Amino acid sequence: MKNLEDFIAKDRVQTTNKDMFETICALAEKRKRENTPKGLSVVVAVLCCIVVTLSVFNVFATYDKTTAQTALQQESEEFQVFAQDNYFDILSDYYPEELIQE
Amino acid sequence: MEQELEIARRIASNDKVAFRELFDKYQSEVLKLCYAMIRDKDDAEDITQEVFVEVFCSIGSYKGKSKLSTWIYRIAVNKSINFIRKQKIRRLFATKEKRTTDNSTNVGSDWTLRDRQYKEYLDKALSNLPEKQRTAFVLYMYEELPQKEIAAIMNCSISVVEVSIHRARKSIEKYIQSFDKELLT
Repeated sequence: MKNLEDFIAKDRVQTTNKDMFETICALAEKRKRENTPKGLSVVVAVLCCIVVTLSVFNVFATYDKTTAQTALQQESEEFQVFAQDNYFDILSDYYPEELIQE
Repeated sequence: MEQELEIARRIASNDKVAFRELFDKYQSEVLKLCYAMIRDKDDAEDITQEVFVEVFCSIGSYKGKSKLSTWIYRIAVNKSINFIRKQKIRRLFATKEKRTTDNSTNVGSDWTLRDRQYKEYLDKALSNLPEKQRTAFVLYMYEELPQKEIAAIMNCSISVVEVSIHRARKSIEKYIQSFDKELLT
């Protein structure tokens, strides 16, 4: 077997690229410009969390409201039907006794 | 250490001359490391570029707790490992696409056919190593760093480094033996 150390010595990259420096500087400047300050990003993240929480609460509140409204509506509809069917029976409680007996 | 902190402070305050000095000092080391990890010269140059961009942008976080070289090596190792992971994922999704890597740019003009074949085997052997073993082996064999510094870069104990290098070496030697057998037949 060929000596591994010798081969690795041969395999090491010896060349360098001097032009790379300018590109690196340009990329670094660009990244620094694009980077938002850490404090600002924290504020934005907190605001996002608040908005999401409020939205969730709002969804629950809307659901509760709708359910209650539906129940109420259903009840009043049922009462309407009941009242229609038993109109005279209900009223009969209020008729004077004499009138009924006549 | 004070001198390194001073350089870091100068770079953090946008001193391009100080950054140039740092770049000239570490460029070849970082490129060598990235190439040994990634096994492709063009990709290694791209990662080296990314490493120095990261160094320039994050040097403010360097507190002088370790050597500046250790800090830079750590960035280079992390970037290389991330690249390798992404490459593996990319390959998973492009199994049908045949890779046509031109290795001619990765070797010197004085390389014999046997050297090129040997290199191919070494590439494969290194690629098959687990991340920890590969990192320890490359830092030890290619960068010739002491085990103490490798432990600092990898954030582990010296004994872990020692074991990783030993296992990596064994795996590579075993893999390369098949190359020798192929040559004999």
